[in-house]
Amino acid sequence: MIKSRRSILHREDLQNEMESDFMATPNVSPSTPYYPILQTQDYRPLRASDEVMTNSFSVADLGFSWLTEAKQQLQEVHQEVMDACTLDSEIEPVPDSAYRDAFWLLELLDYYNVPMPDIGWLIDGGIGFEWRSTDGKGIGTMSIYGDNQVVYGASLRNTRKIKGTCELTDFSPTGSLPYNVKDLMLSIKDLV
Amino acid sequence: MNVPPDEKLTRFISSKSGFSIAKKAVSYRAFIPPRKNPQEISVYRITTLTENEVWEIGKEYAQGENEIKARADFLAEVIYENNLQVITDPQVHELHANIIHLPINREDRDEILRELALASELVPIPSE
Repeated sequence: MIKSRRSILHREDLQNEMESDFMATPNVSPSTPYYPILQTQDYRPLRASDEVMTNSFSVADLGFSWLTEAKQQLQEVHQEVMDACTLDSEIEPVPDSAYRDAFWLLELLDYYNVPMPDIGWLIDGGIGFEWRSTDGKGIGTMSIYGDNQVVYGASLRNTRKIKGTCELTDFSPTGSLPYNVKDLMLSIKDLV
Repeated sequence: MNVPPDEKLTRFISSKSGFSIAKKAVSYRAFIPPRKNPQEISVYRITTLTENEVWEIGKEYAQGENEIKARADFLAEVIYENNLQVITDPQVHELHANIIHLPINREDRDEILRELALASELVPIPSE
């Protein structure tokens, strides 16, 4: 059973931050009660795109979220791994902690308006997210093994490469995002 | 013996996670080696083979209980460009080879696997 890790976020801080964003956003009025938790996709514009985004606000972003589809994919991956492991002893089972980390990371990526990744499992016991550019010349990846770390990297059409490892909590909207995490998410947005 | 850089290699893919039909792309996930041999990637040399012969080798030698669904074709030169080696390993099959010296460190490993994915052509298995 996949469980959300939202509880480790400081909900009150997040609420204050998001309500502050809302109050600072002109001509936007919520039509339903305001829920400050990450899944409230109705209020995506109210995030003011947090500090990560430098792109201008797009009406196309209104009310759209890939989170439901991504969670469904993660469930399918869980089933695929279970099936594959029973047939091949070389395949390392993916620990529950990796699903929890992946689940949480998906919510945060969605929160930051990062495009939905292609989600799959790794034979050595992890979950892998991948983004590809439409021209096939750019790629971004994140590998998650359930140890609270994200191994990430991107190759941007041979013009720039980034790679690194960060803590899952580095993505938390309650703190200041490290430069490398901002750079990663902007790179992926640029890629896709 | 090293495989010449102009030889065409293939990596057989048994997992849906290893490729995307919609994007016509091989995923970096297809190249991740199992934990028992974390520095080796098993491939086959296919320059001299017909399509049918390639798939026959895949089914006969590379396929386990999980059926092969696709393959990733690429030139050996991408291996050398990333400072790895690819050596023949005829014990499994006369055309089998191993990419060796893949870094243990996941950051460095994934960087190379991204390059392999970008350099690869996806070939889905033909429907029978």
